[in-house]
Amino acid sequence: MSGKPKIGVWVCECGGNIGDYVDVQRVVEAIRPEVAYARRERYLCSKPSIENIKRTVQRLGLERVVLACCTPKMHRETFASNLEEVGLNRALLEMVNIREQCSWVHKDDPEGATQKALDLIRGGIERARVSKPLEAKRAKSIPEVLIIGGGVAGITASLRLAEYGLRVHLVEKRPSIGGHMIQYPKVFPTLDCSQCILTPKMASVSNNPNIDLITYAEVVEVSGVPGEFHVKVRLKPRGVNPDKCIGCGTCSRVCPVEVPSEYNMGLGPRKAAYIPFPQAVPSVYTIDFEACTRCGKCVEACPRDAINLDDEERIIELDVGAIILATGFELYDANDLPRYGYGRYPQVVTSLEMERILDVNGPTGGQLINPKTGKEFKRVAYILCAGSRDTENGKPYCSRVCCLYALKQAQLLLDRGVEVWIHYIDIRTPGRRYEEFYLETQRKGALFVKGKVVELIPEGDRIIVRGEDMMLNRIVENPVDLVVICPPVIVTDETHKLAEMLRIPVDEDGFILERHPKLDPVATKRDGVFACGMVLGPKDIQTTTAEAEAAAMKAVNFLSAERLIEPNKAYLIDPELCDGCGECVEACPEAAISIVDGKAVINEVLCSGCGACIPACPKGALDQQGLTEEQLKAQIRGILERSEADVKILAFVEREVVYTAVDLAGLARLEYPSSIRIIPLPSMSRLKLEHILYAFAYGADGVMLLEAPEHEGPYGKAHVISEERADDYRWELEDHGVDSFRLWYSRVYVPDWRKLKKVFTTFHDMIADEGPLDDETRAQLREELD
Amino acid sequence: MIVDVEEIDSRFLRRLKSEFDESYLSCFQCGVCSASCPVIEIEGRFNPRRLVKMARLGFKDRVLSSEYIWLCSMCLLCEERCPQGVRIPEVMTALRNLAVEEGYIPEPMRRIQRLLVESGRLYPIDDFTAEERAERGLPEVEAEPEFVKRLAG
Amino acid sequence: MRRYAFFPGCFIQVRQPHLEALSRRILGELGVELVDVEGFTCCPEAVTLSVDKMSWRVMAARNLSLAEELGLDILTLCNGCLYTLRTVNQELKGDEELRGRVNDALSVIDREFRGLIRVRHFAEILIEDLERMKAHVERPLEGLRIACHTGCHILSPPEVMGFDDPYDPVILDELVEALGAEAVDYDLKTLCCGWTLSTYGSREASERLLASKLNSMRRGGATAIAVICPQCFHQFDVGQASAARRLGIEYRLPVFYYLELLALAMGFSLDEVGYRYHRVRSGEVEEALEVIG
Repeated sequence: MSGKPKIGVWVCECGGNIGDYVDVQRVVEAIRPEVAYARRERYLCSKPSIENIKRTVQRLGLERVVLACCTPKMHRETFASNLEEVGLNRALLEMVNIREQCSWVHKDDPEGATQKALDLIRGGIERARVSKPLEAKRAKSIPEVLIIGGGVAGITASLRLAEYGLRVHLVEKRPSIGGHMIQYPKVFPTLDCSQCILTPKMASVSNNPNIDLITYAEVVEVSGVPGEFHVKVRLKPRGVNPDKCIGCGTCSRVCPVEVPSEYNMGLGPRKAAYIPFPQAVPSVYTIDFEACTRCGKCVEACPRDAINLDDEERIIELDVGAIILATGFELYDANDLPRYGYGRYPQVVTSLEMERILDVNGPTGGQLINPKTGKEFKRVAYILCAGSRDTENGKPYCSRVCCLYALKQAQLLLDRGVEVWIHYIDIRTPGRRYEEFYLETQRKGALFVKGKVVELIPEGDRIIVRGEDMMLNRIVENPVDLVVICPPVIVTDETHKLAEMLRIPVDEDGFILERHPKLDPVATKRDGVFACGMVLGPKDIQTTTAEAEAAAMKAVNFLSAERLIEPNKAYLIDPELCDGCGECVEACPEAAISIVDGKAVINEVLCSGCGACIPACPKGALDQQGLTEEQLKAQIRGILERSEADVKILAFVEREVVYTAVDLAGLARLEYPSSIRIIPLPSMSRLKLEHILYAFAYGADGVMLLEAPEHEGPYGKAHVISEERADDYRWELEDHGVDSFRLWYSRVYVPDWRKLKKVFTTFHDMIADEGPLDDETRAQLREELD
Repeated sequence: MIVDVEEIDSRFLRRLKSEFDESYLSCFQCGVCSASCPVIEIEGRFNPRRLVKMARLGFKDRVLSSEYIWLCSMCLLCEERCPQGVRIPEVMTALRNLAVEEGYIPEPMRRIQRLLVESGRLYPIDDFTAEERAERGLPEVEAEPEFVKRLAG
Repeated sequence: MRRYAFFPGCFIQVRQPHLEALSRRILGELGVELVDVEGFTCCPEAVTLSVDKMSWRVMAARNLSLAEELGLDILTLCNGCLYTLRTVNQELKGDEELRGRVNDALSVIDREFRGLIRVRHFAEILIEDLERMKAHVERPLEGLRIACHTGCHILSPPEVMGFDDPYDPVILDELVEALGAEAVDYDLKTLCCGWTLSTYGSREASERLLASKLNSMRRGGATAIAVICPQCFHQFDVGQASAARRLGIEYRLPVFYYLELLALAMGFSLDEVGYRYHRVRSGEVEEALEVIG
């Protein structure tokens, strides 16, 4: 029996999975004298066994529990919650993996496996001895959501969240919500009137008491943490008081200034005092101060005295718990596709411009006239893949919606007797009823040419479209009245700035990077920040709506659970030790540390628990909850000091990604030397040179650092730093009399778990060949360290 | 005309890829090359897109024995415009090199090759020219530099 | 440095010795010293590239190594030579492994490529010092309307050649206008002359390409053509004559190698320039030049 604290140890045989290779009885007997209670069990995870453990803990007043069995990833949670029921804090439970990482991989070496199991359990015991109870703090999130972007994505998400009962702030940069969808006369494949199906939703947004609609505004700053974001929004000066404006339009009628209308893609005019389109929400006029000449006619004419030409921008502040990014798209600038003549030839329009031409409320009143030339068009050519699927000039990706909307526009034109040619590389119809829509377009008489258009050549009033027709094996020169080019969709410039503000990564094409492309498509890499719609990639309205609903649900989930702040944070041992040098601030990959009044302060919410700051402190003033210096050293010493193995290798392993890989190797029963003893860590950057020397001092012949790939797993960024540190440590080892080859550093990817056999065997053979570290060096090291 | 899949030669494909140029693997048959080509205007049967496709599939004999691979004028318009970065003139050069290896070489080229090996130049100096050059005070040009034989050997 | 290893190229040496003689003289007057290098052979022409890329590189590297020995940059008169020598020079300078293989082959004749020099074309050195050249112009060629044909091999690929924009070449136009002549615009300006096609055996295709080019030049209002490559010259001169015979169309667009134009502008007569050797001549041009004096 040992003194305080009272430790109870259970060693599982797991049927024969452990028991057939590890002499469990021998192990139990060896440790019994060192602890308060030790017992062998056949199936530790069985209900009776668990009940037994609980009863024994209560009966003997055990203060620490060590369970040696399968990988903690299987049952840790079960054991921990059960033990909590009998009053044992979960930080006082130690799990030792003697199955996946011992019995299953040393079947040919039962003696070695037994010794290893004993060593690992001793490590667990010594660690448990110095463990302290820890409480997870809980924090509430603010039950309000910020949605940036008022297109169909933002509208859908805000209605769903408002219905649920959360308060929503919907910020839109334009004077009205509606996005691009409000610009289309019809949508595919149903040919529903787009404005008819969207405007009721827009009206709902405006009427909903839970939705705070903030239009003509931009988000300029986001600070705080997930669950408690603090946002600054710049309200652009509208010049019109929304509470007084009745939308009569008098100001617009008297306004003398005309500028191109954004809603009509610049093809028609609007006034400086304007409403972008009749169904605008809010139904309030706006003064465009960049165009306004301050003549004052609108002020005079306004029956409600609602106009103030001295209106200035204001900043408002919001506190929200979650943010949804729904800022949509714009079209790739057609001016950057010089071969397609946009801007040079007035007969060339973009697809969005065509939407406006087709709209009965558009710049031509729906007449089939090209507003740039004033001429009627009877023969139209569509150029698909204009700047998309192009690795050289444009965007490499497929823009997904162009084939369908081109077919839609074609149908609308064909119905009115226009001859339509579609020049394509492929026609992609990846949705429900899309192939049928394509067939319908063919039946209506559209003419298809398979061959990407190379260039446009003007000839009189017409434009010649040149490309190969691969089906006829001829070069085609097609003279048409109007050319519609379909450039790819891209994210807006504002989106890039917002992504930076929100600290979320974008991918190589500028789209927001989802947390996981298959399994978590509407969450971003940052907790509490979600995204939906085109901002995640090109897609149709159906998919956008589905994503918006999903993002709303994610936000609800995120806000309803109390946030658990895991007790694995770095902390300052004693403020006296800190001199404010700031090395820890630099080392922290999460920007969680700051120097306040000359002392390091660690933000517990931002701290991920990677441990990278701890070795960085020159004064050794930092330590980590749940992984203290004391615990780490105790475990190292416990595993090595009394081991009778010939060769002892201590392998520090990143505990999420790499640990899983090692378990997988175990599952596959790959055989490797039993010299390998594993200690899991959040990241190799947690290690000081001291720890490595400690390992050598107390019996290790070799030390391995197996790091996760950069940026993977919860401590992703910390994995980058560790490689450099390992290189430094290798040099310094020589100074302490230890050959540098005895320190191994490599990265392990989960799919590479099969290579682990080779990795472990190679290192073991190398160490075995060189022989164990000599006793003199060990003694010297021990002296240095004590 | 039916194309026999037996004609596909995978060794040819491997050689094309490893020794010459890999870019043709990205070709998704959009037709920009053919539509840009000045040669197709005057010889409709020369179709770079088709040649790349046949090479891609591995129809070694069909492609290497084709007279059309010799018609590329190397103007590089197709390479500039290809959205997938396929280097069509490089592919043509590769196909020509491989064709020569197999013994498919147009007669004019065979003559030129012989000339080059024999005299190190494509336009040999005959007496008449040598005389004319001398008259103008232009330096003499060596008729059959010896090194060429050594190099060719 | 106005001293160069002179690489006329085998074409001009044999087919147009009058042009070679003129070039030497004119460049000399501009203060360019041309050093003849013993042992220069065919660059080799890109025909070799089609037959065997490695041999092409080795022969080019050999020529380069000869100039390296003298420590002089190469000056060439021909687009094709420029393409071959500059491309191989750059390629071997940048790829150690390839350089090794080429030098292995060269070791058979005790030579080594070291990548010490640059390769220039006469048009480059002229445009770089336009003022100096203009100073020699005594008789501006007013009244001559010239269609400029820069040629393909000096332009593409632009990352390697770095001379002018392959889609909108303007340098030759600038050089022509510096002589007082008018450089006309025409829509097939960047089209190849077609010479390469005839080497591979399709004379007919080559002539049809040439015809479209000549048509376009005529439509643009040109009375003469300017080129900077002896093979383009041959195509527009002998080729034009042959095409005219076969297709039955007389274009009457005499071609001038740029240095001929420079000579004329410097005061040489048509006869001194070697106009009698041109297959295609036109009264229009002769009159225009007479007017000038």
